[in-house]
Amino acid sequence: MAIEMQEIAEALGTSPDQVVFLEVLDDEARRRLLGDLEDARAAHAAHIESSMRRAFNHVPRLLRRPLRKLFGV
Amino acid sequence: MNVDRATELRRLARVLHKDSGTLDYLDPLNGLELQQLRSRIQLRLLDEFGPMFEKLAGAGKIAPDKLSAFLCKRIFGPALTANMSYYTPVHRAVSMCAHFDEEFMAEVAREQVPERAVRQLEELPVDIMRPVTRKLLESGDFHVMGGFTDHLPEEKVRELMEEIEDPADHLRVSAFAQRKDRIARLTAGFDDDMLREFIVVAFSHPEFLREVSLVTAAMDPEDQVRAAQITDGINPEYRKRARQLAEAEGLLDDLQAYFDA
Repeated sequence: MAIEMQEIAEALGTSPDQVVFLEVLDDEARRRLLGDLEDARAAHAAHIESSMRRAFNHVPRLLRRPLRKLFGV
Repeated sequence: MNVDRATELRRLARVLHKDSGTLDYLDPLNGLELQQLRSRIQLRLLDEFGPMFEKLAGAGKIAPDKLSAFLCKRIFGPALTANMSYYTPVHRAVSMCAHFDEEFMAEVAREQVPERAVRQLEELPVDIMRPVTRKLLESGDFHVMGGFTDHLPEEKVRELMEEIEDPADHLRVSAFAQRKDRIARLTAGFDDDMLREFIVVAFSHPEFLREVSLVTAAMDPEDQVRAAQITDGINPEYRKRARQLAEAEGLLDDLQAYFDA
């Protein structure tokens, strides 16, 4: 199935008119870009989440849940 | 400003945690487009957790700077500190940095996106940055140094470059810096001995020859003439080699003064 620019734009958190320069990529290239973006996003999220876990380990157990809720973690 | 495609591909590969050789599917994009893509990806990654970091940074506002710095170092760690820094008032972030050691500062620098930290980089005293530069140099984080080189005030870059003794390291940093014009001005400020060392290293390591050509191409004509004279003093054959590369890379026009000298 063809990959629309809308999908690429969403993966980049923007609108299609901001990524017009990527229209030159063919379907295979768009598919690989989406894969690399997802990998980068997952790696970044895992890095931030593990850093948060380490930080919360310094906080008394009873306070962890309310703090997580407060900060939306 | 010209955006060097190879430099930008190296930087994008770092952001994606990939080898630049695996990004061949991006061949249709030029340097500027790769730069736009990298910038968009970095914003996307930062924005995903932005609200959380804004809250965290806001919650620390009432604590004294020294206590906040202690919490950053002992509890939050470098990744969270770097992300909170974008939401911390500049004067406060700078004051907190005075309480960090160079090891922690270097770890924070590895996590930061320099484009988002420009105001802090403007205000941060260069004396705090010197030991951080040495740490990054020791650990071979040339990609981090190259990114900061583009976004630090030029005078600070000039002072920090004094920490780099090996000409090969200058070129390694330059390979990740997009502002070749800035590197060119700083390199032109070298004395003849240092510039000679720089040229010797470039011509004895083929992997540096392209980088030194880009830097020389960004120099003023009179500085190109000086570089040509020093090059000839080392080995007159070197400029012939440089011409072959310049022809292949389409740099002949930009290096006209160098080849006409």
